[in-house]
Amino acid sequence: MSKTRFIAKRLLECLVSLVVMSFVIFSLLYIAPGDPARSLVGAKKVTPELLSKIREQYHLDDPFLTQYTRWVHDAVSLEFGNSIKAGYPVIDYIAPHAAVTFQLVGLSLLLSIIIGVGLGVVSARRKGRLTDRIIDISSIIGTCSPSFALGLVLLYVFSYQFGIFPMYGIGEPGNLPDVLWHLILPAITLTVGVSALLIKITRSAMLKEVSSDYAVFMRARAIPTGKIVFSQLKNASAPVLTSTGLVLASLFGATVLIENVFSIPGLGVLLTTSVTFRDVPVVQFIALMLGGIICLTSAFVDILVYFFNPTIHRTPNNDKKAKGAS
Amino acid sequence: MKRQRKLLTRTVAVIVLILALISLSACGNSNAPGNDAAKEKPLVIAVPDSINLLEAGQEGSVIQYYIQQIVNEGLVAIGEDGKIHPALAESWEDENSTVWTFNLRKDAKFSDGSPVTIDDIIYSIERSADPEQSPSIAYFYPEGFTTEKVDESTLKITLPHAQSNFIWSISNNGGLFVTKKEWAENAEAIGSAKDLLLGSGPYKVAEFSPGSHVTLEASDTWWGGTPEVKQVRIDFISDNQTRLLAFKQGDVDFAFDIPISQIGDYQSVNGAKVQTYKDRSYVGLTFDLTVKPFDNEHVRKAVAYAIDSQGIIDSIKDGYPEKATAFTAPEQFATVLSADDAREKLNALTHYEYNMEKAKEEFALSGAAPFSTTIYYPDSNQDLGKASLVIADSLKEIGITVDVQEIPVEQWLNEMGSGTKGIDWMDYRPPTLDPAEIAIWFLDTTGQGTNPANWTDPSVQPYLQAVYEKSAEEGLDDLLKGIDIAQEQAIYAPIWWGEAAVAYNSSIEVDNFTSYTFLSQNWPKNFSFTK
Repeated sequence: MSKTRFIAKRLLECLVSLVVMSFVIFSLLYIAPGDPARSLVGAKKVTPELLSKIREQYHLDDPFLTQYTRWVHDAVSLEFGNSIKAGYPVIDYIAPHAAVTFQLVGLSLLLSIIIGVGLGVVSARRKGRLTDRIIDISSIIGTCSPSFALGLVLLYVFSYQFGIFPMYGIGEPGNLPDVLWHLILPAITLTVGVSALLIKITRSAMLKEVSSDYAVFMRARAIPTGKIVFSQLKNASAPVLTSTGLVLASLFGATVLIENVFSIPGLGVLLTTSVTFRDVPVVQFIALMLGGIICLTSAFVDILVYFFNPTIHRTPNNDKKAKGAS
Repeated sequence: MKRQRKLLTRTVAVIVLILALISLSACGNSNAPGNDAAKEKPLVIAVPDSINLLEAGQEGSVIQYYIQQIVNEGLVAIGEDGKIHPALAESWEDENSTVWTFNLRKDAKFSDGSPVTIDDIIYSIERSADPEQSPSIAYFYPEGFTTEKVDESTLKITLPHAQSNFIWSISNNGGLFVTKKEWAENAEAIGSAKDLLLGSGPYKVAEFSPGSHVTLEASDTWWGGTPEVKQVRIDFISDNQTRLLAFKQGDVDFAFDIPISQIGDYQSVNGAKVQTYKDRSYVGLTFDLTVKPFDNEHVRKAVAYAIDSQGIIDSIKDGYPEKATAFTAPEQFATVLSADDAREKLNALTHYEYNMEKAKEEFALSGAAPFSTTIYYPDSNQDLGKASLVIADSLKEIGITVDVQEIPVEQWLNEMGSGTKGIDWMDYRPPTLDPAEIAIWFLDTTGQGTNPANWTDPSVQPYLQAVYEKSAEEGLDDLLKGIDIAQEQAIYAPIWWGEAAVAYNSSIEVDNFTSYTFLSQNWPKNFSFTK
């Protein structure tokens, strides 16, 4: 398969996934119980005419397919409509929340890669020894720890007892260092589970490389350990890189609980409230945005890996064709 | 071995370096320009809710009301006494509760310094009455009302029918938040972080971070003078544990609506004070008369007798809320009666005290066979789930098997009075202090769906009509009579009148916190710093 064809195929897969996802989410929200118009006015004495006007404004009485095709038509022209709950454009509504979540996930991803890959390499190189066992047990604990409980414990110890980190919130909007400072503890909470996953993947990939012939040969030639580790890591990088989509999905998924514990106004909390409110335009946009990011990241990584080692994605059929051609 | 250690050390060093850089830059900015905390300590209030929009007209959440209360004025406002006071209207009069004439204040200015004109007020009324622009408050305005600019300082509002409680509609506790017409017409999203509120109240919005916090600053253009508390910051902390820790840490001065179960934790904080207050909310059961066998009065009475309200309060609410004898709380009558007098009158109305023998007798009188039903409760209020289980246990004794199910609050709202649930919970906290606010909904028997019980008895209508036509004082007996008719027929089964708690630390003093405090014209003046 040519590189261009591979890229086109990967991007097409992404597009199909997003279209299917948008349809499934729209359908689920359509059949979910509740009426956004009634939720807006709350438990009050309201006339059916008033409710009807609100429903009309958001086309809530239209048949399912009419609603969905209208949404698709608008989305193609980058018109995502108004939030039913807030009454103004979805992009403006979501932007401040998205900024917070991206900063949180970005910080956590950075920490996860540093810790996860670093400890994974050490664990593989010290296989069977005490260091390996400690890292292994730690990663099991990290994987098993419920993020909200861990968040509360960290909050109690580092914010309340020692007063090192801020207790809640995101600090002064627009002041990036202050915002990042507020996000460190939540990011560490997120990192614990995800880095445990990365440790496992890195360790598993590195074990093959540690005992490979080229590594033994490099050691025999007294090549510095740093260079050997770098070579091993480079060769073991494919599974680590391809897991980025999974890692990102885990991070975005875990933000819901973390944002609640640390009172962070991110996408997770917004998505939860929007789902229960049936704020379809907001849910659709967030789901597509996050889905798009995860899909594109995975595709980008796959393409990157393919460029480094095209044989990875070669199927037996492709091999036969290649041989036949030669 | 050494090299591996070196690798590990480098990894740790990189992490430490990143953290150190961020912390140093954060520390370096703590006194940066724009950080007003360094200049003047704000009053920090933590609320257990989160809002993404400041305007109450869209969603109508309690927190949005508390904010707009001090930013945008209505024609009238509420004082700390719970009574109506002048705001943008200096005085007013009405003809038969139908034609309302308001004499407007001439010295009112918006926080940007521009004067409040009659055109701004008419624009704001029309905006509030438009379901598309203000879905949450449009119901305050009857279909067909008109506004008339008599002169620059006289406004006339004509209603299609008499409505003595209309005065609440044009207060900022109800459905009017006056803003500047020219500004509002050019704003993209009023109340968002992009277009902060613009009003003529004692405070202006200095900064709003959706879902996180809002900072309010004293306005020097308010006709009532510049408020003493210069800055108020409202932090949205949904998680109860986090809010408690923030309070213990001293990050929060005042914690609003703390869970009853955490009162002890707040009291244990050095110097902290916890105060409970009647929050005017009503919690009870509604029977839908279109669902059999709840069309049978004896069945409803049997259920009402079988509810051990005090037992429920003691077991699941630590004894805090008050057992309700009517569907309106005594404190809701503040404009016409003291709470004690109101309580006495409400206790004298027909209600059904817990009595299993009478419950069995009523069930036998109904002639109904033992049956099964379901009580649904909203997921937003777990206490209602626990109370449902207690009620189910009692009803089993008289032959009614009850299944208890949790449903999303949105579904609960949607199905309220829809004719699908024989018994349903009602949990209502009136935004205004209109004594008839709940009654005009519960007693409106003019058609299907006009009240949550689908009750259609016309005998109550004359009393409700009198409530509309007479003043609150004059119509009080009619209001009580209407409530009594509903309760005599066991349409509604009151269980408790809500009680909530607030906590504040030693850095502030609070003057007698009541359910009216956050509804009053300049509520921050009830708070003062001790140090």
